[in-house]
Amino acid sequence: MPCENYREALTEAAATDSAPSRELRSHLDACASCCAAFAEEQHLFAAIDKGLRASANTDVPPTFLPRVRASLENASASQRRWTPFLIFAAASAAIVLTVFIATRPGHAIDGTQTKRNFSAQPGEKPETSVRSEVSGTPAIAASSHSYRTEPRRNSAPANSASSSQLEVLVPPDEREAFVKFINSQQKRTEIVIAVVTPVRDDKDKLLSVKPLEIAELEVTPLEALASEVPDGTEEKQ
Amino acid sequence: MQELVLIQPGRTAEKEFAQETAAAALRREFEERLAECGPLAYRVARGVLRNSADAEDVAQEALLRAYRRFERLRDRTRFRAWLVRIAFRLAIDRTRSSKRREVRETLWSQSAPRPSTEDVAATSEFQEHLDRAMDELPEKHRLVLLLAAMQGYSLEEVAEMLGLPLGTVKSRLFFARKQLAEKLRCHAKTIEKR
Repeated sequence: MPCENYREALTEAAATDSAPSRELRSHLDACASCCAAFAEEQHLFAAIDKGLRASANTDVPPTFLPRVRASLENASASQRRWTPFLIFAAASAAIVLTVFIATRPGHAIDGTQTKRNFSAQPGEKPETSVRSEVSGTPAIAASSHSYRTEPRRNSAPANSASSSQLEVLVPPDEREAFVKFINSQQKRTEIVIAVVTPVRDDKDKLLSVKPLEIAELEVTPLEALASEVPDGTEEKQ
Repeated sequence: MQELVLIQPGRTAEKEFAQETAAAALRREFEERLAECGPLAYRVARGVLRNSADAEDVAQEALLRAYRRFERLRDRTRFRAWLVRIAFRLAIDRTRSSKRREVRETLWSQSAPRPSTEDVAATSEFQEHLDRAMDELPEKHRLVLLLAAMQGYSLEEVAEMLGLPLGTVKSRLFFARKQLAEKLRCHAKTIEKR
């Protein structure tokens, strides 16, 4: 049998580190080249095993286990440390989110508009009026709604700053008098109590027209008129 | 009618104490296993990575992961096999990422990190060829080869560790060694130089 036929069996015997079969043994005894090849294979596998053992059985560094124990300790400690913090962070985030949703700009505008709509009810008069009485006696009438605390929709920001101050509507001819009155009151230390009277809406009154006065008509029956026509006396009357 | 529930405030403290006691017992149990299996995890990682520093990092990471999930491990007798698999998987991942890093560093013309003196001493020409041939083996063959080469573990123990029949372990070992021999036959001359 040629040597090539024994090659596979030879390698397997070396790989399994087992004794060669009787047939292979007899061939190895007879063939010097196959015997050398078998020795080479055994040498190769021994080198492989040695290399594998060398890389698989390296000494564990003495610092390894203490290092692992320390990392385990850190892991448990950080877990303990982070747990309450995470709970607190989650609670804080929930609060911040709630506050943000409640105070976001869209909500604020809606709220303002609601207030405006509420304040713009027809029964209310948001403007202050200081007018003279019809009788001509100087008097100051201040409405209880004279404070324009609510910002106007189209007002400039500068106006909004002064919107909380008192604004009073005064007739042009009484302006100076009113300024003098205010100045005189500012010099006094005691609190000014204004006489408040209900505002009279005089706009319509100024434009009003006197009603026409029509004399009472005397209506007489037509038959009676027809009988009186020839004379012409009743028609003249 | 409103339902009333009896509450015992002391129960909370008792519960916390019981939890702490259980955690301490779990930690003690893990510590015992750490002394036994820690070196095994290191050696598996070292066998794959062939670098002491990387192997230490990977083994530590494997043990940390095992510790975090230790409570969920139902069969504690399987801990060793479980840890070996974690360490092997992490080491393989580390090898792949370091290969990618090497490619990047080559592209940027940067020198690769130098191996330690210990690693250089353990490396010979044939060993380098062997390491390269090992890298080319299928993972399942590689792990069997590595565990079988470790001192103190018989093939039966390896089979138990991997949850495989003994025959499967033997056949994997045989094919793995044969594949290595085929790859290294041309480098057989370098053996004499050692």
